[in-house]
Amino acid sequence: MNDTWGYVAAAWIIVMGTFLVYAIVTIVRGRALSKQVPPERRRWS
Amino acid sequence: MTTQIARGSKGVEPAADAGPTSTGSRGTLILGILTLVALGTLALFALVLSPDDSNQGDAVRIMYIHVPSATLAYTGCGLATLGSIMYLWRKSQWWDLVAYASAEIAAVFTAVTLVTGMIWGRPTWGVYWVWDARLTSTAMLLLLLLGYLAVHRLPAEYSVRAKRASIVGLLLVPNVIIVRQSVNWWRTLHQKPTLFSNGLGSKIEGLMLFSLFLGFVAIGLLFAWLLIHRFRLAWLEEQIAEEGIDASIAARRAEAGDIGRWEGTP
Repeated sequence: MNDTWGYVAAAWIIVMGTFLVYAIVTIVRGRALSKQVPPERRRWS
Repeated sequence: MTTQIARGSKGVEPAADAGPTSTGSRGTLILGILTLVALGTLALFALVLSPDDSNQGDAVRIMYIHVPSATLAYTGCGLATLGSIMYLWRKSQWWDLVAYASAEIAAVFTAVTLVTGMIWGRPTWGVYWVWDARLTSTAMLLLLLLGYLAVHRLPAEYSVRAKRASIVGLLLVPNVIIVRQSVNWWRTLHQKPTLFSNGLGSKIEGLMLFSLFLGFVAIGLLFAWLLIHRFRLAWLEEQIAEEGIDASIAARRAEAGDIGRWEGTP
């Protein structure tokens, strides 16, 4: 069943790649928008 | 959600320091590290330590990310519906943003579920896609989530688009029930549930069951981490939109004041 490893690898790479890209986009956008919002309106701990 | 933002309010008490410069915090940093460790452990067990399946061979290793992704997609839909109900009831921006963040993450997880399901289907069924009840209802769920997000982004006053989106959000949980029960209600190519098909019983055991459990933990942690960051991002987006509206109103008022003074000049 070695031929199925290609499907396994594709599935894992796509899933982890999607999550990674989504996380990076969210973080980068958060950093950019944080600069535009006054400190008193972005308080989290 | 570890945030000090008051529910339904537009801000909290000003602080002396400059505040966070991103959507991150000490809590999300710890959660992020735990998520990375859990994902690494999952990869080790799912791809190396767990045995292959007697019927599916190594293709079963897709299950360890496919099933948790689907479950977390349903969880996101549940949170989106809960947030929608609470927004319609309490008119709280906090709940609307919980619903919005949950719906976007649920859309990502649903898309991942569909793609991994297609890839898993090729070696086990011989085809990437069939229009059977489970696959079709999952595709409809993704479309509904995209519809919710589109309605929430329509150009309108915040309360109007939040209300419209919340009404769409009410449809998510009924759709999840249809997706979940589709393998029981109709004859489908998709297998019946691996877990809880007979009460608390399971069709797998040993390292395979443990790896699947690890999948739920790791992808669950990732879901929580993403949800907190996305919620804070949505909060920032709304703050900027509100400031833009406030600035426009102030500019109009100033303009009207100038005209009034000009008209009043003899």
